[in-house]
Amino acid sequence: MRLLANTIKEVKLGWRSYYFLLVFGLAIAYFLFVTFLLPEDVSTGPDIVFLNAMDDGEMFSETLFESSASNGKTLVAESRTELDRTMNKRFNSIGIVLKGSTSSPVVELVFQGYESPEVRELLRLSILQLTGALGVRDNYEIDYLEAKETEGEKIPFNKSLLPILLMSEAIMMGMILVFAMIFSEKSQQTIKAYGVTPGKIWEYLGAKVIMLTILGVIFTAILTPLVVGTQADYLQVFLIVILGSVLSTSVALIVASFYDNLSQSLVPMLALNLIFGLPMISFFIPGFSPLYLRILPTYPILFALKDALFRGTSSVGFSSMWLILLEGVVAFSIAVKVYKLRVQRG
Amino acid sequence: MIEVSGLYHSYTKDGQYAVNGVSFNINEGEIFGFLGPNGAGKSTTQKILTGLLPLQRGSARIDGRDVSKPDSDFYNMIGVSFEQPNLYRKLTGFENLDYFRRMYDVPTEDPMKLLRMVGIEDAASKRAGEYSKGMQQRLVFARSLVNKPKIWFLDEPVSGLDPATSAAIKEIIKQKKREGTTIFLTTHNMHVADELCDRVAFIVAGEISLIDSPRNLKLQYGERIVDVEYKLNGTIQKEGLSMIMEEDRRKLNDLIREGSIETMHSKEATLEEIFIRVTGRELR
Repeated sequence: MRLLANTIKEVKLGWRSYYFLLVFGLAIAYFLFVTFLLPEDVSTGPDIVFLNAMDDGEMFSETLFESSASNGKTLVAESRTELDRTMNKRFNSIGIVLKGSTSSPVVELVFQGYESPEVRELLRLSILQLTGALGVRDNYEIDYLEAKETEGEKIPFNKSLLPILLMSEAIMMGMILVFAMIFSEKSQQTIKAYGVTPGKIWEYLGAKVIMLTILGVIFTAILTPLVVGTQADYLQVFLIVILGSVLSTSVALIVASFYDNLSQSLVPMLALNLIFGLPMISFFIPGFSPLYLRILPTYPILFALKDALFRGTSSVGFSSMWLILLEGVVAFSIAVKVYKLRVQRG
Repeated sequence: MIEVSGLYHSYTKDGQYAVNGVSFNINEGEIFGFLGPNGAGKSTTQKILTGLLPLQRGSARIDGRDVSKPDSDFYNMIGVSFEQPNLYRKLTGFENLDYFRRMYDVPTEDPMKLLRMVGIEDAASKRAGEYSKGMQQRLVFARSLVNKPKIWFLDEPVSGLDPATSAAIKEIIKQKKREGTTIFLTTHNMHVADELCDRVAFIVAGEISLIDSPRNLKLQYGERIVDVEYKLNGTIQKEGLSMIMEEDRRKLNDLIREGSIETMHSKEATLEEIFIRVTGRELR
């Protein structure tokens, strides 16, 4: 009952501090940004100019064509002259000319001349891999140094940023707002008045966590359907946002308790946001996920969000949320203990 | 009702005591004034008694309960009016009272009744941040009554209030005393203490110098002299007449009989004068 009364109070204060309007505005602004300003594809791979000069190389050329289409544009030339002309117009392009027959294919690679030996060798190996896939040659192995993301529909670049937005706004926004809430109450000294009632500190802090979680859920509920429609596993998405908000808000409560005003806490607040935001590096560079990033709670949150939003596109699943739940409970318990001591010290 | 014995408190824990061996008892239904200048240890004592500061040394019991282990029953029993207007400024006056009312496990007062009692009923739906300082002070005062406290802690309850409001607040305090509420009043306003308190304690530098009723203190420390202004042959004469010397008493009777007295004041000491004489400190 007291938790409910505290939560109603927090919602009223949040409403009158325009937190709900802020969340609504941010969600709409991010939707417009993602949909209309960010491109769907930002790949910078070279264009492939393709010339099939084989007499019976239909299947072989189709495979090569589909493979090369995954990165950059693929153009088809009808003749060697056209291939040369097209490549002259496109500075970032590579030519592939198929000759011979299916049983004995010859692949001629046409370069601009500035490509490094590594790129040339990589392309040569790629061609060898493809010929192997057709049964021409099969003595190669591929080792994935990092967990390979499961196959799925290619996610457009703009939509792929949704997990980042949900983590940085729906989950970590609470970290900023909780500082504002705590310092507002410190300046008003209302916790002293609360301290002489039978109200418990966990109820007082719990209401703040609930209020900020509600804001996170609202942000998620507005932005997610606008960006990915019905594609996401919404139950999982909301559970991740709720657990993440509880954890991040509890951690912020602990840090905020050591400072008296916003200016004092600016550096630690930004540092906390920076640290919690570090797993975004692994998000953009999947091959870079050292231990110090993986142990941050936002790492599994970020990748579990990606998995829930785009269904099976990440090796970090929802099961990792048990750890986040545990961390959230521990962080909240510490926050309650710290605030009890703070209240008792006047 | 309140028993305090050998209470010490140090903020720095280095032998510098803000409260230094304070002991006193407060009877049920009594208004006990805790008087002293700023930094004397009044607020620290009150914070210990209300559980806002830990009890470091000594003992303090309120209605038989140890204040070092305050539980819900303890907080259901006490009300605290703070000197600072520590309110939720974005909540209305009504919402402030309604929120705090919901924190208690005992029957509570109707917020509108309390707002009416302190004269801010018309501003019930106005945000507390838009209240004047006096209105905020009255709202804090009203909030401290929300759980119908058995023991009421008041910190400078009429500070910053206009005389009319101050009189109304003092009347509420007197009414609560008549209803049997035990009141611990912290103030440096000697007039308030004189008017309201059954007994007062003078505290300076964390130590209690004296505990007694205002009447006893005045009798003990006041001079038994009456200052009289009277007409004699068309001119105003001023004279201090002793209530102990027979000749002066006879003269006063004559002046009263003749009806020539213009003004007359007993020369009893004020609490402030007694405080200065006893402690050697002013109440600032």
